[in-house]
Amino acid sequence: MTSMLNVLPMESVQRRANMLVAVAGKTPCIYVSLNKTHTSVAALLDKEGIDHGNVFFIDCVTMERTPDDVDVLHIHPSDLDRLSQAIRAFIAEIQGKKCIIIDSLATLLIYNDRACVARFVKEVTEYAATNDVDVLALTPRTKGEDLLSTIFNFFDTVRK
Amino acid sequence: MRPVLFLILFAIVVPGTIGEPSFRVDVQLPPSYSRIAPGDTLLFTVRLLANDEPRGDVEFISGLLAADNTVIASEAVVMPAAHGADHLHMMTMPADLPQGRYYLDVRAVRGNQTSDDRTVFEVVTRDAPSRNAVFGSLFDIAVAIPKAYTIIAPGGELLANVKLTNLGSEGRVDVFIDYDILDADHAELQHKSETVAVETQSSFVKTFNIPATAPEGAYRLRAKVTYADGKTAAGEESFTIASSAIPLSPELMLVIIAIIFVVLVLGHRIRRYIKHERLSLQVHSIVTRRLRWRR
Repeated sequence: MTSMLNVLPMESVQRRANMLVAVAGKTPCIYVSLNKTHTSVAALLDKEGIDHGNVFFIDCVTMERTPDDVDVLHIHPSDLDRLSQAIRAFIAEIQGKKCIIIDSLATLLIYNDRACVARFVKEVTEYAATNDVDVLALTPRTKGEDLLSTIFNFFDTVRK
Repeated sequence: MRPVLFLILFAIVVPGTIGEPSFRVDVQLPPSYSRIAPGDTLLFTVRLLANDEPRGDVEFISGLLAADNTVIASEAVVMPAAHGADHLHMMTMPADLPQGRYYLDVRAVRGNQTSDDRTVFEVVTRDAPSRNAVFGSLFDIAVAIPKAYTIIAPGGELLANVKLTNLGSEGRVDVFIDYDILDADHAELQHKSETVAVETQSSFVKTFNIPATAPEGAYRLRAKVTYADGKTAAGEESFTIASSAIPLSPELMLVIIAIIFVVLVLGHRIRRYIKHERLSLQVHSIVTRRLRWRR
């Protein structure tokens, strides 16, 4: 189990996310999308030729469900309790090795105060650690310096 | 001068025949006062029974007459006419009054109308047992209003427990109790009076109908007992008149608040639990569908 925080330039965040999905391969991924709709992320992965059949999307951008996204959870980014519960539920349901990708962490600051976001990150990383789940979080470099300084210690590795 | 006046009124003025009286006076002498000693104070009640709406004040003239109708003493008092209410009167016997039978006459005068009533009693020696039971008594009175009645709505009923205790002599004693309901400014809202016979101790329940027009606020129920030669004792309890339909005691309010709090907390937790369960089911169906499809 490992938890990693990637602090990147804004324009590099999605590319790194795509890379993480590609590296995961057949390992099921719980993809928490905070900047783009799951449709956009899926389209970008398709464009790169990356198979996302094992990706379970939690879309925090659109709240409206369509007939095509019955397998997508829609959770508002201000509802951190529900988001945390959803991640735990996926971890409990998916057997075997899995990972969590959170893109991008600092966006949560738009809807929540720093303390709540820090608490959310701590809960997720601790739960993932006890269940042997990798956590890969991405955040743009220019956003949420105070938040980053708070949550650095929750991750095993911080890449800047 | 007064006895002479009384004699004139009784002897010259034909009693109660100047105009047909619209009221009648009724004098009541409790049994324990039917035998008293010289120097004792005679306590008796006078009730005015009016045929029409009582108006104005009434003069009550009480006369002590010997068995041959000789007037020995008289007293007069003026008070507002209150139909049906017992008015407590006292008359002190002369210290040198010989033993024997005597009459107590009471005349009520209102305007040019009069009404008379008479009762009889006996003067005995000071060591007569029945007399000593009364004049050796020492009473205490306590009033308690149950919690459920401490807040009454206008038009509602006030209930109070009254306890009389004779700490003095033994034997039956008739006592006179006045009940007053007073507001915060000591103004009288309601008055009642009654005569009660007590051996050693007596407890009873009194009810009072609160007028529907009674203003809201803090009130006191005061009970005063008069006995023997005019000795008194009093007890009182507070209550509130408020327009809420249900008399709410502080304990009941606390219980209601606690129940509401528990319901709110439980309701919130149940809602959270249902939301959590729904989410878990949703995730389960997503994962099951996707993994089945992948196979």
